[in-house]
Amino acid sequence: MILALVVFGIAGLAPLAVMFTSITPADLVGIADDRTLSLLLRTLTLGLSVAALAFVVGLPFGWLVARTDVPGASWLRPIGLIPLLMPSLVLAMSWAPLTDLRGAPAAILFLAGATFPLVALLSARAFERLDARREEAARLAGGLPAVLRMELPLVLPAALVGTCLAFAFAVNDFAVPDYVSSVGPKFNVYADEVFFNWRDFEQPGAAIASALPLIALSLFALLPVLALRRKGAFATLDSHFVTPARLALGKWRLPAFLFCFSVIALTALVPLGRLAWEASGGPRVWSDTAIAAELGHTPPEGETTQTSIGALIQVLPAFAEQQWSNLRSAFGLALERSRSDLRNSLVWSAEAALACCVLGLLLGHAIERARSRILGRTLELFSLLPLASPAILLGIGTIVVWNHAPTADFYESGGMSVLLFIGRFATFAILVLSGATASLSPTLEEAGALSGAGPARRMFSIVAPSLRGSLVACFILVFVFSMRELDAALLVPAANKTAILRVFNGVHFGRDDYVAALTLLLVFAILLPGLLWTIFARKRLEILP
Amino acid sequence: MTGCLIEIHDLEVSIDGKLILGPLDLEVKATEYVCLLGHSGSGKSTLLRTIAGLQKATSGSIKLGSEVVSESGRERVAPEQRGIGMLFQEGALWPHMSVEKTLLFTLGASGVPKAERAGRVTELLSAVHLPGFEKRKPATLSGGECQRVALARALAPKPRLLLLDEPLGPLDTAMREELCQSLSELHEQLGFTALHVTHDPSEAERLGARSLRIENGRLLEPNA
Repeated sequence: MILALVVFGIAGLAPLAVMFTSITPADLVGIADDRTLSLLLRTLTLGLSVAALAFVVGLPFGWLVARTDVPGASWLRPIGLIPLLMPSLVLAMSWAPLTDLRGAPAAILFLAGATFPLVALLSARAFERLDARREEAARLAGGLPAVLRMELPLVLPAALVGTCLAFAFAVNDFAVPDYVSSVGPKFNVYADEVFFNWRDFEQPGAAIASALPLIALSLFALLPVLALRRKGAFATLDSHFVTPARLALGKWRLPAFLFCFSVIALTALVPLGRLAWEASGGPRVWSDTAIAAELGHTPPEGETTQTSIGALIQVLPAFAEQQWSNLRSAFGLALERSRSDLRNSLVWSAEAALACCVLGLLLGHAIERARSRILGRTLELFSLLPLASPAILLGIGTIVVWNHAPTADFYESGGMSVLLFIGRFATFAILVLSGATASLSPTLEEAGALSGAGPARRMFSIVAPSLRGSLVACFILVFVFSMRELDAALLVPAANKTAILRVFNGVHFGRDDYVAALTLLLVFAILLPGLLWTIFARKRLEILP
Repeated sequence: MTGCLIEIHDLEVSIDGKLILGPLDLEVKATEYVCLLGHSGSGKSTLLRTIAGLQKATSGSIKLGSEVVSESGRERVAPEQRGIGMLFQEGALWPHMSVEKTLLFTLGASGVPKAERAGRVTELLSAVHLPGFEKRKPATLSGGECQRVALARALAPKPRLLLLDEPLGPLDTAMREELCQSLSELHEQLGFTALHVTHDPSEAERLGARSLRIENGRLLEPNA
């Protein structure tokens, strides 16, 4: 337990603590200047807009796939999670070439697309946990409208938890606003400000001072999450729970399906399709010039050609073959150039996930079973800090703590990346496993204690096996987030050798087929553990209690 | 048969291809109180849910009054339009609503004009012997009180048929006696038709009801 606290302290809290102590009064002066305040307002607007959109899309999506007879609910639901699992940068980089949308609207839409699954996931879970008899009582009183009116207040806390998380993700995101700025007019947000204060001036004090309002904003969004969690926002189950049947939508089935399909098409299928198209050299292969050349019609210089449908059909077999060949070479190149980056991402993420499972089990259990309520709450609040702080800040803090001569070897090693990921994502493991512990009857452990099992034995022989589903979910959650981590990894040299960093550099410096292929490989690697679990375990992951 | 509120013919209910109920015929007169006795899994609750329209029938017909509500596997009338109140096991009260809000919500959903609702809440609470419980939430009520609130909720839209799914199951003996008494009184006062599912034959005796026994989805004493 003490070892777990020490590891979490070193990985997640020490970098932040060091940053806080480096603030000088001069650094604080800058917080209130006009530029900073306008950035704060812009970031707040971004966060609120993303949260509102995520709520408006996520709540009905969650209800439809979890509780109604919408066609294809069984596959719409897992596919709906893909945008959350993919790096948000992927959504931005695949949509940007397809639309003229730039600046704030683009950043809002891309981030809402990436975060709506948070609301959908939590709402779906809450909708599933409404007792069938309560729902039937409402149905007898006034049909589907009465059911919805009765259920919404019960589900709203869970949906708001998802919305708060979407807000926290959006205000801390660096990659999407940075990418949007690189393809259109500059769209500065607070995370940029923190990054540039560090990069341009190497002033940790200025960086943390400029991050303070962002931390306050994130805590403002995350504290209600804890409060709602305590109130049982995630679960309305009781001991005599009866699973509700799916509600019949009648004539609304088709429109409901079209809504759900549009959402996953826009946020998952189109981005992945676009990447596959790019990886196969689609934009180059199907250019008007290439078609004309294939058909032997070379237009006079300065003239453009209009391609007919007939011409497209004529060149289809040759171009399809060419695309297939391009696709294979793009993947071959991606594997050749980035094999070690992909391996680093996989190994470091798996190691961080494993470590977080142990940390989460010990600290999550401590939060729930602490003899002193205040101690439990304090531990919970501290565990929230790394998530509430911008990842960029954790990255800078890690540099400040570890970039010294005595620790130089470790600072350059893969262990540094693993520690960085642990610091960044242990919060998820702690929150998931404290929630899971809360749903476990204390009598199980009391029975173990009475039969003579010590704390360690009870933890690993009684608690851990009972929370197996949640532990697997924790592993996958931390693995996925570590694989897609960009903001903190951008700063720490050891963590630069990952696949997502390769993609980030690729989209900024000469995007080509290879970058698209590498991105697809990365997305596949991110989704792999979840896919394997779904296929072989045939059991749902217990991320929520 | 005239004066029948429920007429069921050749009713069959299959779930996942397995026949759970039927073939079954049943007739219940208007204002009659009928108890359905049977062991767990005999199909009692499925019959109630099928009459209410919460479970789809596979074949056969259900007629409520002069209206065929279900025929040959087609649900002709939606559950909320059948004029049915249902008392669920353990009440199934909405945890986030006070007693008053629960009743106001039900009255509103069933189309009672707003001006009449407050008066009806008082009437209903007095009928189930719970005056003064308006602001209480389900978590603060005893098992018996929960069932009384659930009974008030089921009676709120003035249903022609009340379905009771083992309503006394979770209660202790004293509370059972009290609720049985209340049910008898209310049945006499309001004159609704009731179909009451239980596995306890003494409940039927206390309620002075006609008893029918159901086993493996079939009625053993049809229209006795």
